[in-house]
Amino acid sequence: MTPLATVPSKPTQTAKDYVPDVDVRWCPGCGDYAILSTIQKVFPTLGIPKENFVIVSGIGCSSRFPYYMNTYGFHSIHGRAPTFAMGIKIANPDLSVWVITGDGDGLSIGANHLMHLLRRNVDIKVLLFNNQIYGLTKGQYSPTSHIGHKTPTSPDGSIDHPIKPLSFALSAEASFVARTLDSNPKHMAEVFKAAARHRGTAFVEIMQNCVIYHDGAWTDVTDRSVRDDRLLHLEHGKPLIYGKNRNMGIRMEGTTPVIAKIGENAVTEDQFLVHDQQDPNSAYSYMLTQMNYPDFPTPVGVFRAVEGRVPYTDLLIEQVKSTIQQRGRGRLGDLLRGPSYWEVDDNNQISMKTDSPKPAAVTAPPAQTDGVEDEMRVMAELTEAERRVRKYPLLKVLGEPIGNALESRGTMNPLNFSVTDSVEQVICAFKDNHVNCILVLDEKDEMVGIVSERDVVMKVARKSMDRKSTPVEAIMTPNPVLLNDTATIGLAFNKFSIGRFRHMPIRRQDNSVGLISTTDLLFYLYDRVHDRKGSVPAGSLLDDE
Amino acid sequence: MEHSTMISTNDAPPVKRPPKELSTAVVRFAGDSGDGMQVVGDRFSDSSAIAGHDICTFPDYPAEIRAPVGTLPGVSAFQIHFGGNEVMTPGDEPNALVAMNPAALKMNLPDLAPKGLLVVNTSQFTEGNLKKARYETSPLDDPALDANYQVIRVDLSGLTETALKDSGLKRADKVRCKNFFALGMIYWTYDRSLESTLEWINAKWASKPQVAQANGDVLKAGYYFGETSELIGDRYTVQRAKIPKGLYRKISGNEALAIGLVAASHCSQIDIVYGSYPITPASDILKYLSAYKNYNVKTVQAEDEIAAIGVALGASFAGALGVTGTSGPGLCLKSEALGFAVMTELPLVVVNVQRGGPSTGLPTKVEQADLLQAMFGRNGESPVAIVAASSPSDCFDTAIEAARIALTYNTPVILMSDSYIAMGSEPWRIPSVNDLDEIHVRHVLPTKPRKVYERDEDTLARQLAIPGTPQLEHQIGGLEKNEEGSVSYDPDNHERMVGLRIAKVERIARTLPPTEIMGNPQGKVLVLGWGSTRGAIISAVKRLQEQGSSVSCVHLRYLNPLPQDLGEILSRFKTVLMPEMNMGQLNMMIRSRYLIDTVSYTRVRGRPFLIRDLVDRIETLL
Repeated sequence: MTPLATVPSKPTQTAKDYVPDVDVRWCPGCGDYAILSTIQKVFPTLGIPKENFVIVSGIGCSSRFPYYMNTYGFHSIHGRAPTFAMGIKIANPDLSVWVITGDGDGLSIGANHLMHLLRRNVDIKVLLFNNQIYGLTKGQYSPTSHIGHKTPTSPDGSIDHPIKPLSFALSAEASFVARTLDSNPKHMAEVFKAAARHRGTAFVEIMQNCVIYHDGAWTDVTDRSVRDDRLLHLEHGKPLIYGKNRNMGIRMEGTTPVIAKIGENAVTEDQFLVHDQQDPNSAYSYMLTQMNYPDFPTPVGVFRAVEGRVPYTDLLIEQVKSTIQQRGRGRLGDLLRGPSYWEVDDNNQISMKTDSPKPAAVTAPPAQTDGVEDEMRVMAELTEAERRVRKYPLLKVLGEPIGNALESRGTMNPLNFSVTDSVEQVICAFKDNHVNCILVLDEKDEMVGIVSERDVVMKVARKSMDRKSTPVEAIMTPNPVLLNDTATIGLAFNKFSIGRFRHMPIRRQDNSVGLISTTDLLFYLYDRVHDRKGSVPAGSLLDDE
Repeated sequence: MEHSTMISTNDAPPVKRPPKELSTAVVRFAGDSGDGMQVVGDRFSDSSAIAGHDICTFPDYPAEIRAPVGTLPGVSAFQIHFGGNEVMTPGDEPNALVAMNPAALKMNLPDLAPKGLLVVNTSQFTEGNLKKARYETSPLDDPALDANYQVIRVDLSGLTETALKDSGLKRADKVRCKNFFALGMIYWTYDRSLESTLEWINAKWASKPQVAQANGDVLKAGYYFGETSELIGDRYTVQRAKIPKGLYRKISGNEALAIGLVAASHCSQIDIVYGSYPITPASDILKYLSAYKNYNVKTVQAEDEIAAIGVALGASFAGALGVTGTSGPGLCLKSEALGFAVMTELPLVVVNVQRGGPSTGLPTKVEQADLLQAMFGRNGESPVAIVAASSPSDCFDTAIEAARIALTYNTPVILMSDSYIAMGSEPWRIPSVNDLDEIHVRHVLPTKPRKVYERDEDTLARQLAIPGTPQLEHQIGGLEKNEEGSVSYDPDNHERMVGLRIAKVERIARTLPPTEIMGNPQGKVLVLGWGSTRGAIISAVKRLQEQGSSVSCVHLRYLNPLPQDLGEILSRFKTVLMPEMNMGQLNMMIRSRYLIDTVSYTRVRGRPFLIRDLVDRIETLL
């Protein structure tokens, strides 16, 4: 018998897992490349199964992002990504949902949705690529373009006052607000990780360069030669200090922040503001979002990360749970009947009914009361065993004959070999037919053993053996545990778990032999839960009352 | 002896005339928005149903929540048709009208049947109220009124106050009960038991016994007033309907639709996520569903119509069935996302409870003028399935059917309802849960690599892999894709995918039941309708069939695709008449599809068809 090896622990994810086999079609030199590769490095570190990531985007250059990530992706319509993301998160709160948007997509056509996502604090991460330009439509000014910005649609300079993305987010009561820059992957990675850790909507503005239509959008603060003096790195609990010589800082004069230099006018470090990203009052972080070069250094890092506001989906799930607690899991029959209804009898006589408690006396058998049966009453009539099956319908499946599972998911006519066939033949058969277990028959065509992939691995791969001359008899598992197809699925599970093997021959009424594996059984259970043939409702799997 | 004189023949009370028997009757309550007309209408409907009548109701109220008291725009009305035959419309004209003030009289008197019963609340016929209703002299003084109708002048406010003089209520609270006085009088007129209404009153104001007592007393006072005052000349008993054995309830279209969606979730074992933005007359669907959180339903009141459909479609991508509900103006806003649903081939149900348009139009009035918008209101070749409900209770079955199509074919489905059936109600035989058909949904399992646009051979539906399933990571979006799911601008591929999306929707026709013809399968005239006109059309056609006319009717639930047998059926009739509450939208579709010379009969008056109008129109073709 092939012993069941210890289950290998899930292989660690790597950035490579997130790189799909497609050509990235952003312009050479685009800031998006750095953001993409940072995300591909950060995702494997988050401890989230790869299949649980969903990336949702709208329209724009940045919104092509989902196609360049080997995760579930939803490239939606202009500005509406937050709405789709919210629907995804509501339908399955276990998913890690990331919205990729830009200054046009997120702050112009989709600003309304972004605002409502933030105020609801849905547990979704929003990365806004801000390059102050419409790239995909070839260079028109955007809601973050500066006054005077000349573009094809503002030949005399933009007269639109720009919006500050982080100020916008805070005014929508955002619980997590941060800024990072495409030219600093390390910084980006830290900010993305902080965003991922946050429970609630995390909003990240990325200062991103558009090499074609707005090259150098941020170089006045991000260029290597000036960045130390023009960027203010925010660190929780640390004073607001910046500058090549770490001697500049921000302090308050009345209600106004001002720049001060250590040593000048008796300024000392302890006069500087100390960064508090957890301040429940958003006034302080709002003040930071209003500070920009050239009047101030431009702050980067986490501005605000306030935990404790329960995310929207948690509140929704809580309402669902408490409704179930108060009223019980809904029974369709009750809903169809409504609070008041009436009964018409054979003589066209009418009697009013209301939802008042039913009399305990049972006059009709449950089978005849169908959709409007009082399930509680029926339950009371059943034996304990019947009750258990009703409560935990999977038990019912365990009582079914294994033949059902064999027919639906198992191998009805497995490949078979004679005891004298060579090991090489069997290995080739595995490879060519995509099977992982075969039967071995003697000269009377009676089954005498089986060979599984594990047999091959354990008994062939390790030994020096001439596969062409060695008969399969040498590596087969002789006289495997066998069940008739009338045996229950429960018994099959029992055999699998005691014997620690993964394949089992099943003898049918006509004496022919099929094969069933543990995987087949799992799929069969899954099918039964989902197709309800024989009424095993999916919800009941989760019923823990 | 004094006793003997009291019963002497001379002084004997008049012998009560026996009530007249009617097959059906129509009653309308009309008053100011604040007069509680919808409440008494509802009570009358319930007690009618319980008394064994078939019923059909028509609440008709203004778009303004509280227009100035006593004015014409502030009039709110409730009409109910009840009786022994199958009642399929709220009735062409009321046999009895209660008018609580001059404005209500002015708005509703033209509809009252000749010699009909008219109860007016004289206490409201003050100079000021007459002026608000734009009467120069009191209509109650016009001798023509008594010549044409059976007029009962009652001081409803005064009598109600008198009945409650010992109740301890404040004067304003006493007067507020006057709607129940009117209801009591109508109950007496139609020989109706008070029992179920008294029960309702006690349950409704269980926490305010004083109010319950007052309303109950006033109801009785109205009833006894009818009995003792002898003002009302004739009493009526209306025939009971022959109703098949079973359990019944009264249901409105919006509630039936909400319950239908829950039932669809039960049948498919797929959760419902309902995203919606409040809009008349669809808001109640969200109201109902948000109370069903223990039925695998999640609801979101979204920030706008676009977000509502976005939430729904996102949920569908994640494995639920997304549903969004709206009315015409909202459907305009959802157009782009609807096209996106077509492109991504995800299941989605969009409920459009139609109202008068264009633009804000007539928010509380009925019209069915969004059909071509549903068919074509998107950019590109963008086919969606369309189904239409034809009565309040039919909203239940149509909702399940819409969900079945959406989940089977992974396609958006537009479900057309309208304000008339959404707000109207009728008795509904409660179906058995066990009789509902299963909706078979199977998502792709993580067993083997598959193509994103791999299709089921029968349905052509794209097979869905749900986020959270290992090994099936993929991306979909609004850009055209090839079968593998990669973005493709290849001309051949685009042409093939456009064709496949259309063919998929056409495939739905294969699973539709045969089209039912009411009447002979061939003849002179076929009346072809869809949506809420069903009741009026069937009633008119039946009336003519009883007179021996060669007329039949077909009523469509499936508008896209149309049933496969429809063309052949249409060819068997000399003339096809198509009544619609629009300017001939289905007519345009039928003419272009079957190349036949149909006759269009259109009404856009914000009101349902009258049976007699249909009868007259059909007769011109016979």
